[in-house]
Amino acid sequence: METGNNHNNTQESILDTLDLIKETPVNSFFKQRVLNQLLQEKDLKESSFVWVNPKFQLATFVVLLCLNIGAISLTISSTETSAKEKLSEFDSFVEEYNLETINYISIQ
Amino acid sequence: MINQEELIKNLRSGNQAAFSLLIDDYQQKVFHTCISFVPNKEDAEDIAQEVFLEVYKSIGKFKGNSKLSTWIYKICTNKCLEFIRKKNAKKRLVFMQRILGNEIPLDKTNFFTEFNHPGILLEHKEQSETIYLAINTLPESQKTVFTLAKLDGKTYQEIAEITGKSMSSVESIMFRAKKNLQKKLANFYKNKE
Repeated sequence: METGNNHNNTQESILDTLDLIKETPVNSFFKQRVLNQLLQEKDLKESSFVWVNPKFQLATFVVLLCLNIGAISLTISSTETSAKEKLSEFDSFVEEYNLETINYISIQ
Repeated sequence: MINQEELIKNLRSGNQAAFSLLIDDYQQKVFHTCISFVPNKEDAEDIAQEVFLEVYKSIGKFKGNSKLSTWIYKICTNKCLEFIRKKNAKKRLVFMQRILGNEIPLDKTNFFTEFNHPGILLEHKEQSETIYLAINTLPESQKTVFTLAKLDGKTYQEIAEITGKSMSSVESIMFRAKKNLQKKLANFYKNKE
């Protein structure tokens, strides 16, 4: 029992060691370091600001979308135009050489 | 002494002078809390720096439900615990022991940082290191309350505000933390003999 009490007292005195810890003063350059770090982060934020801005990204997306739609419409219309041109070329060729469509019934 | 509301208003508007004042008022207190959790001067300074940067970035989110000091200490406590968790996770032995459910031995190689606390006198160094090792093995809530009370010198009322727990809860956690530490230290010194 006495040994148990002794152990408890020893543990208490060990924990009391923590009361003897002295206050450590903060580094005298600490404030300057914090302010410098803050300035660095602000500079980084500003230089990347234009590119990371959501409004800028949305605007870029809209522009690209319009360009794509424009390109696709242009491709479709140019395809139709070239097909019509080919057809009209064919017609003028037929007319020029006075060709008739082959009629199997008439050949017979 | 500047009014707290005015200080918060100036901080929110990004006023550098206000932030400079804040650092002047709180740097020692924040550093003291950090070195209480992390007994390494360099690590404690790094964490304290992160605390102030976080305060600057997040001041807009501060609703004013508590005192500014309480909010700052909350950030400080969280940053310290985050640091300890990350460092502890890197120690594979500790990780394996947690998985296997074994008692983590009080061994310096398992501690998450190198002891470098200028406030600890040489004659108490070994004993203090043993206690810090023991504190590190406590469950997080006990570790937090014990550190804030015994090492950082906060009152139970302040701890309750910082941790968001009730006073009775803080007292109960503190009681369990002390009991736990006594058991661990008893085992340690018994095995040493």
